[in-house]
Amino acid sequence: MLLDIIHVIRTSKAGGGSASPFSLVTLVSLAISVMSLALTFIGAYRNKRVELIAKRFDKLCIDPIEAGFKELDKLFSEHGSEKAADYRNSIATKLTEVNLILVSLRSIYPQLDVNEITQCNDTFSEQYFEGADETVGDYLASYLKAKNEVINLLFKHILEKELLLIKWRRPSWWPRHRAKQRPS
Amino acid sequence: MSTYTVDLNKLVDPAKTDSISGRSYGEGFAKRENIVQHLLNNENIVVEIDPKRVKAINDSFIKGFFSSVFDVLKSKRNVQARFEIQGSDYYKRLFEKNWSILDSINAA
Repeated sequence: MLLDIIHVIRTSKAGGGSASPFSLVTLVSLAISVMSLALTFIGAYRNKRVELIAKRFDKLCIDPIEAGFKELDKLFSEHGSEKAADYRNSIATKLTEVNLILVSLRSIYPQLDVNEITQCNDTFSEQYFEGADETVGDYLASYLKAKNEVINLLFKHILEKELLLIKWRRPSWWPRHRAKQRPS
Repeated sequence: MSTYTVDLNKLVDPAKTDSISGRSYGEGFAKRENIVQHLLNNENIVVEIDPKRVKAINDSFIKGFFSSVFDVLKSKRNVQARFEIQGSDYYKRLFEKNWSILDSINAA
């Protein structure tokens, strides 16, 4: 490519210092090639970055949380509708451990709203302890809801705050949103 | 330094329930017991739990009970210095774990 550029410059110099229309076209096409090459590299770099962040998120965040939930799944499948104290304590302990993993993620993702995420587990925990007349199906439904909400919030965080894929961030130079006029 | 004792055993009635649960219940109980005021008066707090009477405690109750405490004492280390859990090892561990959670949430 460099040789091409030198060749074009030499040709234009040989022609009395001004570039011929042909050489101009060549220069423009070369510039476009260089730009597309640069864009390809930027794209490849960005893709690799996204891939690494996603892998890191899976390893540090999703894997331990899923392991915690798997233990809860096991407790549910083993004990069913049983509500003996030992069993309730096991549920409370496991939920606390999942919450501990969730809050520990703040050291990696400082913007993570751990309060909101742990709240999902707390809501289920309260329902489980207090709902005297509910069936196994009700508990399982609220447990699955809590589990899905936790994982959903984690994914939402990674997409919006870490990968910046969904939420558009207003640049500092962008004009501020004008206040809506109230109807008179 | 004087000591104030919080008796969690009175929150259960063996005829009706053997467990303590609910974040708002925990917050309300801490208010009724004036925990923050006792801390401000420089008193240490002892939490009594008889495992034969209290069979289970929900983690959100602990969070509710200690949410105002963390507003005052700020960190797990300070809470550990001012609170003593008199109960089984299971309850001691459960309280410690929930203090860690509150510590992390409060650090936000």
